Amino acid sequence: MKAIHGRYALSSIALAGALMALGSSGSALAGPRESSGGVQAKIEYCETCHGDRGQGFYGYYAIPRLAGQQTGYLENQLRDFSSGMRHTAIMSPIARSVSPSMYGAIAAHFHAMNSAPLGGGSGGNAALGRDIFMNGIPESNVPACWACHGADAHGSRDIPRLAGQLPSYLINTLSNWYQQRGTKSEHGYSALMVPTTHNLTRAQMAAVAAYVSGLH
Amino acid sequence: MKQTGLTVASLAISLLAAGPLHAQQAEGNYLATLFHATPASVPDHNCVICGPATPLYSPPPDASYPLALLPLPGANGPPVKNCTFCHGVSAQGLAVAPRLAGQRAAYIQKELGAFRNHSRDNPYSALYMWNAVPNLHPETARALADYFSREAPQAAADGNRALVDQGRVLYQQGEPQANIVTCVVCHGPDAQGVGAIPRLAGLSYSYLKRRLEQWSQGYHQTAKPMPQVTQSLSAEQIDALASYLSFLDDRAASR
Ligand code: HEC
Ligand code: HEC
Ligand code: HEC
Ligand code: HEC
Repeated sequence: MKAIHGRYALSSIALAGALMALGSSGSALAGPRESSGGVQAKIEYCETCHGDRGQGFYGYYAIPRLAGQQTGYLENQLRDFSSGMRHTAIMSPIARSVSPSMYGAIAAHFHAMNSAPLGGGSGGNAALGRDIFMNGIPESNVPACWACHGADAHGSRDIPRLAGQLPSYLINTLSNWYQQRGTKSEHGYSALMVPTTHNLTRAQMAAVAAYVSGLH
Repeated sequence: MKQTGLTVASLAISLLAAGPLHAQQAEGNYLATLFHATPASVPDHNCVICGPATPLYSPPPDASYPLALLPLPGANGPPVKNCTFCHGVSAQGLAVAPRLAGQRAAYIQKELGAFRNHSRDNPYSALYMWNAVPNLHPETARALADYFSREAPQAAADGNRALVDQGRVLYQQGEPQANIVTCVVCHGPDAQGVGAIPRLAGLSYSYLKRRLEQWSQGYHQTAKPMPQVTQSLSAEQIDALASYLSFLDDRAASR
């Protein structure tokens, strides 16, 4: 099992590298085909919960940061929420209310935002988190996160930005990965994280969350 | 203690000076009579203190409840009487003053700050709360917030029962097609609130309705994200939400 995970993680790094080299997907450039009032109203709707600077919000549930998020990743998530490939009680019905023709404009809007991290504690050890992010945990087959998410944790295209994300959201999403996103997203990206999330302990998740949530 | 008495007295005077108050017949509690809403029959709808023309609050049957029922803080405790004078002896709300019992301490403190810097500027806030806070020491504000948050809240249960189901669906799911958010995500599944996000369960119908209307009228725009939340709500939807929430009895819910 371990060996398989290890090999899998390594080959996924190679795959992700190849994907990063592929060049622009161009999705961010696709303009709104809807009336701009419709898109504008939708964006304001998103900002009610995600914050008017896209910085995220601590409600009863943690509402993740969208500011500076990669366009390819944002569009993939909207598609997955809407098809049920990624299921959450709150975002799935919301995504179904968004016409796919708006995805490009919405993703470009949030990608362009550059707000400061919201902060908030994770109870994790940020120094340990930095170590995991940079070096992985070889003995438990956890790959170095930066290999895919970038040394500045800004991600690229279909690989999400982690910098400045709310720590409690990061811990939730990592610990519920299999239940929430499974392995079958159409674009195949969610599967890349399965071995990583499987092999990280809760304390290690909290540590990485403490580290990346403070990055600008 | 002497100072407390003076403040209450001067508040009462300023209340009386502020405009026509329509004293209700003897309720047992003379403070309540100073601060009661306009009965439906009085046709004075321009009076801002009087509130809507419908009765706002029906005192509990034992309206003569003695002050001793209130678990008063010790001699060195916060001066709660300055507040319960308007908010009701057990802080369950009275006339236009909302319930404070069981409200989140961090939220109470945040609002006291908003009254102090006048960013919460709707008519009732300006008329009543702006005068109640300027001399409040931050330590006292914290102690009061803590004190009220620990009192058990009772549901006002004064909304329109026929609208409860509509309100529940709206509260729990919103209406994404119409850009209406679910309230659950911030206020919690039992409307219990968290941190500086207020508990809504069991607040009075008329207070909730008024608050949900006021953001769209341009008041208290610093209370993010509520001005944005309420801009897509219709009058009927506000009615349904306020009705549903007024009946929610959350005493069992964890704080
Ligand atoms: C009612 C509040 C609310 C509204 C409105 C809302 N969201 Fe969300 N959103 C959430 C919550 C809560 C989550 C976290 C979901 C989870 O993991 O359970 C989330 C998650 C997301 C994610 C996943 C983020 C990530 O890092 O994987 C994206 C993308 C997203 N929302 C986009 C949008 C867009 C676009 C809109 C507007 C069309 C929108 N949201 C409107 C509450 C909301
Ligand atoms: C093989 C490449 C790869 C490696 C290595 C990798 N990730 Fe990921 N990660 C991804 C991809 C691709 C996604 C997007 C998945 C999707 O679209 O559902 C992702 C998503 C995530 C998310 C969800 C972000 C969000 O906003 O919901 C988190 C959190 C995350 N990764 C953390 C980590 C951590 C921590 C590590 C290191 C221990 C790591 N990743 C290593 C490729 C990788
Ligand atoms: C003169 C009457 C009066 C006095 C005295 C008074 N209040 Fe109020 N208070 C009100 C009214 C009326 C409102 C409703 C304002 C509105 O509708 O915006 C209110 C609102 C509040 C709110 C906002 C509640 C919410 O749910 O948003 C808080 C907190 C509050 N008062 C705390 C206090 C405290 C603490 C004291 C004592 C230091 C106090 N009040 C004294 C009349 C009073
Ligand atoms: C994104 C988070 C968020 C969402 C979604 C949200 N609220 Fe709020 N709500 C808040 C915050 C924060 C406050 C406190 C605002 C302040 O006064 O600073 C608040 C305050 C309120 C108040 C004032 C309570 C009082 O005691 O005066 C009411 C009423 C209210 N919200 C109702 C609702 C309803 C109804 C919905 C759903 C239609 C909703 N909220 C959705 C965050 C939210």
